[in-house]
Amino acid sequence: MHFTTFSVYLDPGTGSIVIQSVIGVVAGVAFFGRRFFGGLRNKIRSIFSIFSRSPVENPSNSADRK
Amino acid sequence: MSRAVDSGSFRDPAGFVFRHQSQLYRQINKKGKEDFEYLTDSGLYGELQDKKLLISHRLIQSVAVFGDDPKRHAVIKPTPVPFISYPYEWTFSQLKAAALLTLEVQRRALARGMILKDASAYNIQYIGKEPILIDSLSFKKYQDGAPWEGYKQFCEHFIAPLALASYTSPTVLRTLQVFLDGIPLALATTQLPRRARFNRGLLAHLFLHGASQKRYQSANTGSSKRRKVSMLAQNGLLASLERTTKRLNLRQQITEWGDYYNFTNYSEAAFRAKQKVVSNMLTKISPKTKIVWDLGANDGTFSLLAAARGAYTVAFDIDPVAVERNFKTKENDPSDLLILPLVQDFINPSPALGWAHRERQSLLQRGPADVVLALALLHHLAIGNNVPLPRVADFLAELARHLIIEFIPKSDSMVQRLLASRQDIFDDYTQAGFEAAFKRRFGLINKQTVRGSQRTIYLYRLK
Repeated sequence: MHFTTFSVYLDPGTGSIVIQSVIGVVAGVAFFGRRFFGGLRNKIRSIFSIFSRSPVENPSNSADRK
Repeated sequence: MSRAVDSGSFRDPAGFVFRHQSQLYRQINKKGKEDFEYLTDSGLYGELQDKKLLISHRLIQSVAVFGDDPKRHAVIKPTPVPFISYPYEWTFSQLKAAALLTLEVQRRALARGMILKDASAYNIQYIGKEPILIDSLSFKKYQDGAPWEGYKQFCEHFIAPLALASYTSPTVLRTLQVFLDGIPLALATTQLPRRARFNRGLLAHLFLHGASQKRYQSANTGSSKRRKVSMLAQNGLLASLERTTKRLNLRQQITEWGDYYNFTNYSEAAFRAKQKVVSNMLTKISPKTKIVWDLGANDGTFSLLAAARGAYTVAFDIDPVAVERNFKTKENDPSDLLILPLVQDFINPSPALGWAHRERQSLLQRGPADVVLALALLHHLAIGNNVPLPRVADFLAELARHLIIEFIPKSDSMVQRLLASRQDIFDDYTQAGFEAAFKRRFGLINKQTVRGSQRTIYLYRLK
């Protein structure tokens, strides 16, 4: 995907773009880490819950819960 | 058609600034139409107005008076800025406040689906002690994954000079006069002490950034055009820049600045008498004074007298610490929007700079002022710097329509201090010599001695 359009009149500098993507991610994780890791933890949990859920989906178990 | 395009406004194809019948306008080209319209449609313009972060403008309905221009989409009339100042005339805190304003605008823009396409310190102006973004064409629609193209400029215009001033001296900001597009990172990183690397923000935005610039300087740019920067990274970058900027401060030594008014050689009563004389003279001037330049304003004590009369007062001083102090003193009244403290060395005033000498105006080109205040300045020019009195009069005649100037005789201890370490070669530095020199260029309106001192204050009108 190309982001360069007519409205870019500055030379943003290749090195500056490369480093900002790195600094940005590191800083983003540091500053907004709780939200980020919170989301990641939920994702991981949901993946694991798929594995742990399969026996739950056993009709006999679901019947047990009633 | 009498449209004069601003000679510093040519880089951005989205539009430019021009003058028509001495009024300032901004043309929006068709190329800038979509982004300009989105600024309003996204609600960003309204939000930035509410927060006083972006200069307001009104749309000009009938553009025929400006002549034909096939590239034109629209013309706007921005609210005028009373005095244009440049980053190399600002003190540390002014540059820092301008940096933080840029970042706040960027944060609000991102939240509304836009992004700043540049981060030039020259896009910020001061109205009194309040910074404001003046470039209504600095915004474009944010595309998902797009990098911030203004990042390099932000680091070079703001982070590098602030870091250098913070680790060395605030006087280093005057080098911005040489580096009009900010201090190159390769230079900044060699001038900063090693311990600056322990500042995480500077390590990232100056040292690693500089290394990355070097690493990719001959690389094919194709790779960078495809480089994605996620919203998390975009927000992280912004938060990091904000934190880095906020943490940069001047070193402690600066705050040990001696209070000039405690070192004056005249009594409290004489000081009040001087204020009264200046105040009286200001009321004698007609037509009503709009712009006052206070040369050698120190922390702005006398500038307040002019501002109290509603005049927009530019308070110049050579000492960045005095300017810093003036800038940080907020009266919380209308005078905060009427006093603009700036660093200026009258022995070497700001020249015309940039492309064809026309991008940035010299001090002289930004004048003349309705009134120039030159209190306790003359002896610094005439004795401290050997400028003959007639030449001082000639220069002030170019700056001022009216002049309020103080003459301090040689017998005064402040002048004696200047003469202490040198031979007195200034035979013409007498009250009679002063009057003769200024009579050539100015007509005397009023002359008053300051009670309790040896000083005389003159009110002159330009001949």
